[in-house]
Amino acid sequence: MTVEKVIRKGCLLVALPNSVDSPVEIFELPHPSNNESKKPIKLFVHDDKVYQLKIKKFSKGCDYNCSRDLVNDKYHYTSDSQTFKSTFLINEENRKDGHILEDGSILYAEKYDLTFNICGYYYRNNKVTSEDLAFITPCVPPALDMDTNFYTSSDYQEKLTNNHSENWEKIPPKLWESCLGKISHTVEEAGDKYYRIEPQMIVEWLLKKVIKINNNFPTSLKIPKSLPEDIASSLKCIMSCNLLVSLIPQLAYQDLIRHESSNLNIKQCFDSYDKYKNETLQTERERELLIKAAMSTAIPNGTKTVKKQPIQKAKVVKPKVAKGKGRIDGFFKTNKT
Amino acid sequence: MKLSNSTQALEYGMSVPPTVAGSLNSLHSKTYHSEVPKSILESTDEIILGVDEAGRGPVMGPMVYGISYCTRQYEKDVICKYGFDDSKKLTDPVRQKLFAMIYGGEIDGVGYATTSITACDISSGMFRFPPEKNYNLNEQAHDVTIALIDDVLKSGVKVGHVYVDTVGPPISYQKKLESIFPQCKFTVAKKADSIYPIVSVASVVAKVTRDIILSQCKKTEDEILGSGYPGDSKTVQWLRNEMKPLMGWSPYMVRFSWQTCATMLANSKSTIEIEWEEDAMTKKKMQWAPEQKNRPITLDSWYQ
Amino acid sequence: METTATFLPKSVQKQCQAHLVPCKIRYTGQTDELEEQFIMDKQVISPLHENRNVTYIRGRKVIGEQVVFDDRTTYIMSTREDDSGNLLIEPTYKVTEIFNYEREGNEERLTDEISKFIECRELDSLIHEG
Repeated sequence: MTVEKVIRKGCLLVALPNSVDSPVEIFELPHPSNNESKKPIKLFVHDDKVYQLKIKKFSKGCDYNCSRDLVNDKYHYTSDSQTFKSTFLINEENRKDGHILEDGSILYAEKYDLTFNICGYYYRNNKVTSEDLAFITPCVPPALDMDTNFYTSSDYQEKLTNNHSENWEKIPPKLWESCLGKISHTVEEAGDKYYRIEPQMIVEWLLKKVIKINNNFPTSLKIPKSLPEDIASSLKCIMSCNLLVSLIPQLAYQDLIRHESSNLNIKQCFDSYDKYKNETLQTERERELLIKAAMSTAIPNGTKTVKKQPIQKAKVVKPKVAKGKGRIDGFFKTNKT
Repeated sequence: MKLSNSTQALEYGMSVPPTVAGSLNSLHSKTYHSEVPKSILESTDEIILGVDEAGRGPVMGPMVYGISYCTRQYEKDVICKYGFDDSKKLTDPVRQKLFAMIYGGEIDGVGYATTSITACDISSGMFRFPPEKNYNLNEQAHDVTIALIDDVLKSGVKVGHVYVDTVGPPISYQKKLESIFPQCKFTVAKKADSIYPIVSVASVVAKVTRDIILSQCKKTEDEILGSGYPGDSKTVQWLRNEMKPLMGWSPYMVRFSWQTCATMLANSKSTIEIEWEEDAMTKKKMQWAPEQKNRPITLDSWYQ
Repeated sequence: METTATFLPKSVQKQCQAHLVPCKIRYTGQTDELEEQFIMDKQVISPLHENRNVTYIRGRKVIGEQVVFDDRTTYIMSTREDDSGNLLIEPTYKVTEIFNYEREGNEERLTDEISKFIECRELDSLIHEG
């Protein structure tokens, strides 16, 4: 169920920032990953911050483990693909005034970095149809933004409003400028600031996020204990990059994983891990060959092949059976005409 | 202790059995043990113990397991003289009178105990998730019986022979009990209450306890519960009258795991439909999941 | 013209708790049955249920744990359309606590999901702030 559907249900459980005390309009922007299978994101602005409206459903397995959950019987859903979850609302002071909501979702607002959507705009021609495709380098890279001009912040916002989504105009100018500035090269002229979004700036901005994730790595994501320490470290970096695929376009990810920096050399992490994987695979293959070879090796007297021993066939004495006429005798009675 | 006036089950101005009090208004099963009669502790005669239950089949109220124990000589000399060995004479008023004599002290050579397995514990045990891990009625019954016998042994009573009434297959149950209590001899039999007087005593203890507990669940004196059995039209009528659209009935009283309840809830037009996760579990499971050792994990695929 | 959806915050007197129960109830509306039902069981039978809500729905034992949004105010909101078809979303109750429930036997899922949700929010905070 999407945020839209929950809102339209008519009665919803919503967690908003504590300070929301004036009307806030919910609006949409195109999904920052340019993944066509994902719906536009729902946002609102409050106190000069952008918040995203997200849904939380309990008694629901994650998409990654979907097949495994089915095999393990861990999660099940109703025939109309809903979670087995509904809501009781209890007024402790008057329990007779109780309510039931068929839906068991929570809508909640989470702070959101709008820079992701500016990044999405920059790569707006780079579309994918699923997250899995984001990990693949496109054979024919799509045409990127050919506009190399610098713009003022307000002109840039107007550009996006006209070419990307009219809802860009709902972003307060100061907030817009702050996000734009994170991934743009800026020049000052005659007291005005001019911006140009640059892929290198996008990578630098993403790198900061990867470092944050890497340093606070989620405990539910397990790094195999059997890996050598340096390889485990590389894998952690790789997984930190991969997490972001949900928020960034394919080409932004491809640029990110090729980035070499003294803070965190992402490219080296990918290269080391790939090398380790290939070496491990190679070692495995060699071991398998050795085992096969050992199994067909000579017996101690030196002969290279094992002589086939003649197999004594036991004589089977077949009991004599009266031969019938092609059917189970006596089963079908012959029609006497 | 004072009970409500609706104790029609209590006849002849009798006092309330001590096995009842702890179970009133209790969601969970409660056990009561009498003091061990001094004569039993001092006796060198073989001590026998009987086990029986009351209220296995009803759709409401507790299932009560009762045990009673005495010396073999006492069973012969005293128990039989009071008519415990003649089931035809054991009407409800007679049972109450006899149990009152036990806990009142007139029949002072019998120790007894009960566990009242509440409707709530029966339902929640049978509905434990997933269904293959449920705690069914037989398992509950066995565990309760074992605990009651164990408690008596731990209080220093050297029980020689235990007689158990059973509904299920007697041989396997007897073997199970013998393996847990190798110090005792066991006889497990169907309708043991009509064969062994000490089991009949246990049956009386259990039945009177259950009848009074159930009668205390009435909201008014003239409320008609019937016998509590699903085949009893009075009980069915009570269920129909009391059924509420969302929650059905009180978890204190009704065994939701009984088919009677499931059917009544499903067939009623006024009931709110509730779907449970086991409704979506099919016997034919997916056997294989595609390999995804190298599939990258993303925010959306991991957290949504 | 595209229609809008707007939160219209206002002060609400009425408060309630939200209990996310592990079943699909095919009904949305008022009930008076929660006056005498869905009462928390005070007797803890299993160590798995300590410091958790325990209650019953049609005989099934359900175990609940609190879902905390300490930096958020939670409401029950109702939606209505204005004359132009714009959605207006207004609070009707302030929600004091949210509890998520699973069936007895599914306690592991209850713990896992809540800790994963906390982790998700912490990660979102890392990614989107600053």
